[in-house]
Amino acid sequence: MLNITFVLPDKNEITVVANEGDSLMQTAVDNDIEQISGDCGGCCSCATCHCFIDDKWKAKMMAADDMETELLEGAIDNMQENSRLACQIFLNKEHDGLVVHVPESSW
Amino acid sequence: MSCIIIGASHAGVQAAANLRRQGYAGKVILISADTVLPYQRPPLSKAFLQNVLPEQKLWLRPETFYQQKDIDLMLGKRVTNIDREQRTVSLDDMQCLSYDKLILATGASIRRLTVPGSDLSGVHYLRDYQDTMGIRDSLKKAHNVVVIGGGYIGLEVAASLQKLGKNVTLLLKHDRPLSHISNNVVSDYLTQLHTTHGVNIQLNVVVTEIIGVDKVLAVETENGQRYPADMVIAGIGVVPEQQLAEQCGLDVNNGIRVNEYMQTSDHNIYAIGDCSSFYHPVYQKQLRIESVQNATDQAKTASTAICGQFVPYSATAWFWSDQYDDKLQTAGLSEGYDEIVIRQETEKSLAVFYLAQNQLIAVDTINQPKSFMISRKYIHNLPKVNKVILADKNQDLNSAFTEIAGV
Ligand SMILES: Cc1cc2nc3c(=O)[nH]c(=O)nc-3n(C[C@H](O)[C@H](O)[C@H](O)COP(=O)(O)OP(=O)(O)OC[C@H]3O[C@@H](n4cnc5c(N)ncnc54)[C@H](O)[C@@H]3O)c2cc1C
Ligand code: FES
Repeated sequence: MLNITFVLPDKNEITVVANEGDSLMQTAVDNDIEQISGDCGGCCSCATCHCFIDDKWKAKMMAADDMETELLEGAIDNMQENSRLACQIFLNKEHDGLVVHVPESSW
Repeated sequence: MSCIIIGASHAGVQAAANLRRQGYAGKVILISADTVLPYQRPPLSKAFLQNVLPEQKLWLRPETFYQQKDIDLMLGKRVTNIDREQRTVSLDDMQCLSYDKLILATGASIRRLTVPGSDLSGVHYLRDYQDTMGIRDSLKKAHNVVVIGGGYIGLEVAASLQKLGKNVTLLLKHDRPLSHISNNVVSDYLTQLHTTHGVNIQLNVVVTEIIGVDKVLAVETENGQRYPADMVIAGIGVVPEQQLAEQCGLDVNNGIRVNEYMQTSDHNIYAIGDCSSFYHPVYQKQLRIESVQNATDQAKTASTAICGQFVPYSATAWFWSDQYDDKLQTAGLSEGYDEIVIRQETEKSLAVFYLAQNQLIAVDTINQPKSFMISRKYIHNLPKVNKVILADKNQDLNSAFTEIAGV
């Protein structure tokens, strides 16, 4: 069991309990974080799961692969260094306490 | 106050979740003939068929979600009748429930083979969870598999089974795969892809009989060819599930007719997803679309209207398909195009842009996710585009939309 905090566009924070091995997208969808809709079910096809990983957590993240990077570059106008697709981040023990910033949905 | 939703799949579940998000205060009753928790359908022909996606990741929401959101999920129940005057629905277990608003999210049902031998054991279709479980079970004893149909389902099933090491024959009635929706360039790429992976693809063949004694043994085609088969999987399309609507006198015509707010001819009844036929204001046509995007976006339109905000539906259609390690993505609708432009980045990465009178109406991409995403951002109003930039892989695709000189 891991604690994950989503910071919503209105700056409200929601902390939820996640399962190890689940993706960050699934954690968000299971907890009805509306801005992360995960329309393609996590197969890296839709970018409806865009989020920003809090800077403090950068070191604990695996780098994005080419597919994810291309999708992000195409989808997001204001892409930032910490932009990620939540469906490509699989949670492990190291991620307990992770803070994720959720932008307004672009879709 | 109560809202009943018939069908708990991509459309129905999204509608229920949205009603609660938007503060709907009445009862929300979500009824499904399916007996397992509401699930995602796309993996049924992909990762879940290949047995690489655990079941727990197939569910659209965890079981606790429905309790937390006070959504009354009724599984394994079929609605048999709608009484519009009394505003009630009857279930197959004799229950009768009242509604103020009703949402039909009944989806589509598979079209079945009608040739002799179609009812032999070993003939499968793929629409729901049970179908995939049935196929997975039969695969244990099968080596030669004949797949019938060159749409997305046929192609994905062929790819999945080939990956599982089966000997796959893919029989297509038309001269190329995806013949109704894509250009030759895309079809040819796919034919080549499947051939390279070892699928025996046969074009222009009409199946005339499934041969077997109790169990299927082979598939025979019009030209007299016989293809040995331990099992057959047919992906020959679906028909909208509109019987309930028809019985209670709603307008139907290849789908349940709805207005821009997803209301049927009875304004207390909505229809969304694969079962709905709607007018798209941008494409200016009556459409019925089978995709997750359409199901979820129409669910949002309907639930928003039920909560009192009427926002017309005009979402951009998009779709994806995974076959082997290749990713296809499409946005918009290509029907009626008069020109294509190709952007080829590598041998395995291309985008085909569909234009009608110089306006971009659709795009198919293969292993070019960035082009898919950029196009999807702009395509909603069918923009004029700079064709030179579209075709030039060295130029930023965004500028094809912003600099339209040279159209
Ligand atoms: C194998 C497969 C792969 C696919 N791959 C993709 C893909 O990669 N990308 C994509 O975008 N789309 C894909 N699709 C299409 C997508 O899954 C559908 O468009 C989507 O499921 C439509 O959702 P829906 O809720 O409208 O209908 P459905 O998913 O068809 O659900 C309708 C539900 O209503 C229930 N129902 C019907 N009548 C009654 C009744 N009288 N009483 C009670 N319940 C009833 C049914 O049991 C069913 O559960 C795929 C579909 C399949 C089958
Ligand atoms: S859920 Fe579709 S890309 Fe992440």
